[in-house]
Amino acid sequence: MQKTYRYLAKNKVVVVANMSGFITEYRPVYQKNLNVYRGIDNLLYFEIKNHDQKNISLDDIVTKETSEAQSAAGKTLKFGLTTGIAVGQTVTGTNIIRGSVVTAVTSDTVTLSKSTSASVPISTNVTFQTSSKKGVFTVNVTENDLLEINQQYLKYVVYLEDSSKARTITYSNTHFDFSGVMFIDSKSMPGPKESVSVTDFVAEGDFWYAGSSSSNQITAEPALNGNNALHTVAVYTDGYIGGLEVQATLDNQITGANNWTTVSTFSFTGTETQPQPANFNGIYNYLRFKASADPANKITKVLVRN
Amino acid sequence: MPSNSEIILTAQTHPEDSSEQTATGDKAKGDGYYSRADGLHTVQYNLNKFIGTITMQASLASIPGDTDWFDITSITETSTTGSKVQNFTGNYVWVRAVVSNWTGGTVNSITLNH
Repeated sequence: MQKTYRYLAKNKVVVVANMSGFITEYRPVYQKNLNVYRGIDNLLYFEIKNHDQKNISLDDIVTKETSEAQSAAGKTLKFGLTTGIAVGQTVTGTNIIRGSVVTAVTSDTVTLSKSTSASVPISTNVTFQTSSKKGVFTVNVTENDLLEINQQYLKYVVYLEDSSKARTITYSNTHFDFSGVMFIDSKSMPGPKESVSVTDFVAEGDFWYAGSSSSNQITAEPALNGNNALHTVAVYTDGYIGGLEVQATLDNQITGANNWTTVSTFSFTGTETQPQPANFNGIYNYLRFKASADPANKITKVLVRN
Repeated sequence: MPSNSEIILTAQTHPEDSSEQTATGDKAKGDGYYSRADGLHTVQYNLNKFIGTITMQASLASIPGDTDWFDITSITETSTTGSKVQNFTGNYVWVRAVVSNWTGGTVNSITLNH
């Protein structure tokens, strides 16, 4: 008996935010490549950490510059504006003790729960953030997003944007690379196969044919008839006036002298604005198209799906 | 094929200003997307005082553009409330619903099975 394990796991990526007080203690050596698969939704988890390997909140991150230098270590900091700063927010920055939170806010002064380790200079960036979230967010790369993207390697970036549209870089590895690598895989869920496109019509006598010769034969896939041998064609025209017949044969080879039977008929007036479809059933070996008027530049293509 | 029907057009309400509106649903996978299916599709229109035309369109292109869609079947209603069902057959890779000549009422939803 073959026994195979499968893993139901979150595709999680850890990135390091370039916040105030960033001293690169946390240095992930490399970032794994993200594998994203076409044909299915891909839910990606990102975890934002600070230099101390602690998840940082993604809510209300506010960075302010001090407007005055502290004369000595203390609990108060001066800012030009304190909008966005609220009691309870955690505070990080140069000389600010880990675990400090905001205990009071006025129009220009913020009071911390812990005294700074040394005086904070003027124009020092200090970050305030609520701690209600754990720094995890998700990105859903949907099946539809990947529909028109071929299999390839891509680069992606993650940055934080606060309510004032200020952006903060997040790093993916110890080399301070902003971008990570994502691989789009189209082999696992390959999606629909292409419909057969017929464009080559050849004049023979009074008619034009596509699929009459071995060089441009159109298979009807007779072995694959589990779908009730249903065939669908869509004819794209551009001002074509005339008839078009879909013909089929049970002959095993296209020799140029085959026995064809008409299975579907179109009549075009030249006013068609959409592709014209037709459905027919039958376990045929090959199909061909017979045009009654010159189809050059008028029948732009015929799509066939067996 | 999916065992649950798929909503291919969510609720659409006419502004009731006598204007003629249109609405186009997102493309949904048809039987041809999976190949080897029987091609039978069933669509259900859930309407409330709907006045207008609903057309089902399909495409054989893998990545359809605006010019790859063609009409399959349609219904024209005058203040219809309730559900209507239609069947159509084809190896269609994608199908979608288009509401046109819409002058009143609501399309609660359009669902597809295949």
